[in-house]
Amino acid sequence: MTFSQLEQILEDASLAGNITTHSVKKIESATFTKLPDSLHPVLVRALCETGIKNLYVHQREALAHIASGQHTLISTGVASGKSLCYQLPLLNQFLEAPATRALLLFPTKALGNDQKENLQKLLGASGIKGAGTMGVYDGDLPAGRREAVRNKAAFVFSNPDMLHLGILPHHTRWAGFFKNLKYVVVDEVHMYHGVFGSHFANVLRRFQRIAGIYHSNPHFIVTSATLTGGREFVEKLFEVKFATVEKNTSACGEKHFLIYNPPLVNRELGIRRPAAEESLRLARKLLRTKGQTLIFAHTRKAVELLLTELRNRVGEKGLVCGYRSGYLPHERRDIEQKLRRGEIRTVVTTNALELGIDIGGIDTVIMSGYPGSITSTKQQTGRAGRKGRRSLAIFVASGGLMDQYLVKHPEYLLDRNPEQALINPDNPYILLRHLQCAIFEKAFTEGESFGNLCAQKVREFMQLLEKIGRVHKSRQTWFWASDGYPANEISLRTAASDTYILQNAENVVGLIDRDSAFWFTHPGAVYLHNGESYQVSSLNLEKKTVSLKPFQLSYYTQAVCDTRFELMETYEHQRFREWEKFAGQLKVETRVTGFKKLKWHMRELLGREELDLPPSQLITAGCWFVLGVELVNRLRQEKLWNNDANRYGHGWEDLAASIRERDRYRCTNCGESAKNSTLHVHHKLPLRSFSSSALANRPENLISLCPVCHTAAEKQIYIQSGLAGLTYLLGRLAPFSLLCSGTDLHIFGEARSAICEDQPAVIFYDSAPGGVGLSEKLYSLLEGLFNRGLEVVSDCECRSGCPACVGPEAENGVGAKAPVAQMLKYLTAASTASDQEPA
Amino acid sequence: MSKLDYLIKGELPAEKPIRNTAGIPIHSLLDGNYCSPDKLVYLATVTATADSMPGLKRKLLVPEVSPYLLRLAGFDREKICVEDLLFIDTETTGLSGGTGTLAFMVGLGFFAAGEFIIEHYFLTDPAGEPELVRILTEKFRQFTALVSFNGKSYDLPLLETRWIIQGADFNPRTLPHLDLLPLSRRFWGRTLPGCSLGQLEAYILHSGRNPATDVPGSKIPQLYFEYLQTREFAPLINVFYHNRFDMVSMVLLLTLISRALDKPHTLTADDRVFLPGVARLLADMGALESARVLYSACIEQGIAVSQSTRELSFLYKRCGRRAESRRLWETAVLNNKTYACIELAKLAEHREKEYRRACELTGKALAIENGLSPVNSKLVAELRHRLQRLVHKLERRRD
Repeated sequence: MTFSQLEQILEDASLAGNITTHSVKKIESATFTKLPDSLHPVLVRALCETGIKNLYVHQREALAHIASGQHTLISTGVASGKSLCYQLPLLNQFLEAPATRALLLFPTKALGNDQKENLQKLLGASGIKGAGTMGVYDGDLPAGRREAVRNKAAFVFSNPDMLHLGILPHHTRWAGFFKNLKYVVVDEVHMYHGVFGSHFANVLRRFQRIAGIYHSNPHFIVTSATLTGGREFVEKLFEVKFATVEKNTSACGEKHFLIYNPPLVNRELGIRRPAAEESLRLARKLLRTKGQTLIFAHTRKAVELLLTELRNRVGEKGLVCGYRSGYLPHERRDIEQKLRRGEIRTVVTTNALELGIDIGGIDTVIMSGYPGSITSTKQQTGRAGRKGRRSLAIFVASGGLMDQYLVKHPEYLLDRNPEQALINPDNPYILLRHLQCAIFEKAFTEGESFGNLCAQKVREFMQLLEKIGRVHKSRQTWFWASDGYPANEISLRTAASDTYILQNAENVVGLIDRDSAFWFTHPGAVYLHNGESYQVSSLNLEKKTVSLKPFQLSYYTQAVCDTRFELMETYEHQRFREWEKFAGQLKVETRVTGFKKLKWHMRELLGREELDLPPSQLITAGCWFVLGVELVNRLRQEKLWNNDANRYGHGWEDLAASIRERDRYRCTNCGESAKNSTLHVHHKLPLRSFSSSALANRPENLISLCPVCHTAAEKQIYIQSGLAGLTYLLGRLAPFSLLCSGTDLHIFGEARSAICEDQPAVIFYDSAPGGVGLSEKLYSLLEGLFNRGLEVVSDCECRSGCPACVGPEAENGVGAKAPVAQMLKYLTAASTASDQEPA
Repeated sequence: MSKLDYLIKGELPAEKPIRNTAGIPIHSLLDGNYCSPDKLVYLATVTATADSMPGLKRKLLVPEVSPYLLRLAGFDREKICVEDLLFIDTETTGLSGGTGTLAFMVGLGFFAAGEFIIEHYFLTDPAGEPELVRILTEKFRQFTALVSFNGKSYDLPLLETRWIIQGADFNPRTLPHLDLLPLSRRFWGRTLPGCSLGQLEAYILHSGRNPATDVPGSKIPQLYFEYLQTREFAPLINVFYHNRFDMVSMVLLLTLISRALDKPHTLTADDRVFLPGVARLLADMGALESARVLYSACIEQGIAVSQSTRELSFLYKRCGRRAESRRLWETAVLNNKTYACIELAKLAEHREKEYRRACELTGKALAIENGLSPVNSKLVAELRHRLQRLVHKLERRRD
């Protein structure tokens, strides 16, 4: 008898007892409609052969919009047959007029390749001839084969980066393509938010302008599974009116969503079993069924650790695979195929499998720890489900604040919409760079606008470029007058960097980007790849290679990193009575200084080694504010300042030694024995919660813990500091004021900041090198941001802190709501104009 | 200061650029005419003579273009004479390519009444491009074919881009085109350190370009941008000299290559070093007998003997003249040439079934290759494989 996945779990009391939420979404049956008459007979036959005799109502609706010549957004949820909505119009058009062309843009190369294969299948079924009909045009295409794709392919699969860097600046080579361009498909459109989205919006403006040269007016077909405020967003991105299809009419099996909170292993200290271990237990349980399982982990290393563990416990190793960036493309294709064919049962992956790569239906998804956003959670959850069948998604909470908060407040996860996608195409920094690309592509005439940017604004930017000699104006026209290639100056994604090759002897094992190389493959690091373990023998910075040698896994390594800020230049500065604000250029230096060797499982520290690697430097724009001495003193008096170093009181060292002796040099939680110095002495009730150290230091409040258990215990009684709460709150609000995404702007709270004379400071900085003006803009919005922060904190109904305001409070800890509210009151009061002092 | 100036902080030039001041205009320094009243395109015409080409050391003759070359470029040989050829070389605003790069000057050269006329079309402003495209389209239509140096991959694609952007219904790239760069590579690629026009001038043409009045190609875009700012033409004069010399070098190159192909015996002693290259080109074009004669002459006269021997032996092989090729290989084996060992081993194995001899020859080839540094590991692996197969065949025969 085989149980279904859900029963396997529910019938095991040791698992079922940990389920804190079980939500069920009822079956929804599909509403079908017949194929439209306008469909070419060849296509109808091909569809029949692949088993499609009807369409979902929403698919037909999309086809109708597209056929009537409207730009169309299809946002109907995960696995609702969105691809068919663009595939059919494209193929239909191709059958009727083979000279027409279509451009398909995907946010990643892998997705482009995958979707090309899908369309190829449909094309194969139609018996349409011509191998050159489709072509992938991305950075991997050898130069010798590019011309063939440009001149012959009816469907060009590419990505925004290639459009920006390779196609638009050489548009004359694509003249034939542009002249016949009918459709532009943009898949996974929710990916284009923040700085990346603002860049893409400008690439689209350039694209529209170039299409105009060739008198082409292509239609956009845009899709996404998770998009809030869909129409508004795409109309801002594409600057055209859209028809939308949002109601999903496909069949939807029963969807079960479980929140699983790992059991307490130490009730007194509130320590829970790690999420990874519980995910493993669940996965092993599910391996007994015939179903397929996907486990999402946060980091590449977590994927490998889970994979190794899981493989150790199954007979047939091939049933379990890993999947993440860094695997070679052919390895990834192989895993995707095996998943589709059902030859693999379990895949452990990072968010690399979150986007719509076709892996067929998965029965169960396990998320080991909160994926970090509601959008990601929905995407990952959506991976579970086959046509009409029951599906299961399990969120396994970690001991982290956010995860534990979600356990207590499941509605935050279940009822909220995905995060809003924000863009700002008129960001002046981004504009200035794209206008240079645009003028490189075609001279600007006086009175010409750029997308929705009016001619007057364009003119201002042109005058700026004249000043630095990049453009030359004559006869009412601005010409590009520089020998540079402006598209090379922009990377649409901030995270672009060199790729290092991982080698074992002569064989290429995988790839890794530069910054990650320093983190994960420094000399001496233990590196896991597809369940195999290696030790790094050398990291060659010149050749960009990492030499690996096979290594028997007895420990793993963790890089130790140090981030510091250095003030390069202050651009602006304003002093108020109790605080000051600054804008300027910062150097953010992150250096891997060494690594720890940790024993497998117990995370016991075996040793520590120093490394001498060059730092990765980010020189960027920043904006920061400093709390004045008086303000901090007042908070101290009100007992609302908890950022001072702990004062353990007189004779602490002797006291700690006596506690260790009392506990017989063993960790009172896990029993691990340790030498005197490595055993920590822990306050069960935190020191900060007592009025004096003497009360806190009573022996009954003290116990010995190993470092691992100590960290776990601290999490549960964590007292969110006011400064950390303020940083959390402002960090979440700032993107809304700036129309960027959370990763475009970093925020850092420092109790003693090196860039402002060891005063407490909150630092914002642009994550793009050189900055794209976000911090500078924030400088002028700071007072408004404080007001908004105060409103949010005052209006929030939580007790002492939650993810929607100052951050989640710990299970037995104290949130930062009160101190943050007080800080903001002082800050807003102190920034009224009358209090201002000249800088 | 405009409110957007903060965006270009740090990029502003130290000195404010001088703009549109009355620099010395082109017509004061270079004889010629504006092509239209708005003065956007300037045409300067010059006849290449000793006076107009200071430093030129070679005599400029009207080339007798080899029919081989015409065939190679895809021309119909009956209908072309040298007056139908248009020599072309452009000066551009950048080397990175893409639609933002302009051809601000187009040099055209042609023969008329036994003289080489060079016309320089110069954009006094980018706004003149539509006019330039119109004038040049007319000009292109008067000629049958183009001659360039690297024009197939550089000048013509760039011009095609400009023509497309101007919406012209003509594409200069569709004209028959003889590009002297790939041709030169076939001739001298194996003997010279490189085949740039400068290198060919230095090693082959000895044409005497005067570095004092020349300007390096990489500096040219910046000179033009500065001209647009200052309208001061003087610094651009050398760009014209540079272009003029490029054109003349093309003519010299065409003359030399043509003569080498048609009348190899008339080459001077200095120029004979590239006879094997000529033979190779002839062979590639199917003139096998002419190639054979030339290779034999090379071997007799001691010109690149080992290379000529090798190429002649393969030419014989291609023609099925096995006895002759075998004779050459047997000589080459004595000089320890791997290729000859391999070829003879092939004959021994497949034709004569002399496995033992094939083994010996392959063994010799392996010994030669293993003694070289660096070792060609792919070839060595192939040889090992061959040897193994032969040993296997020998053993089977014994059984």
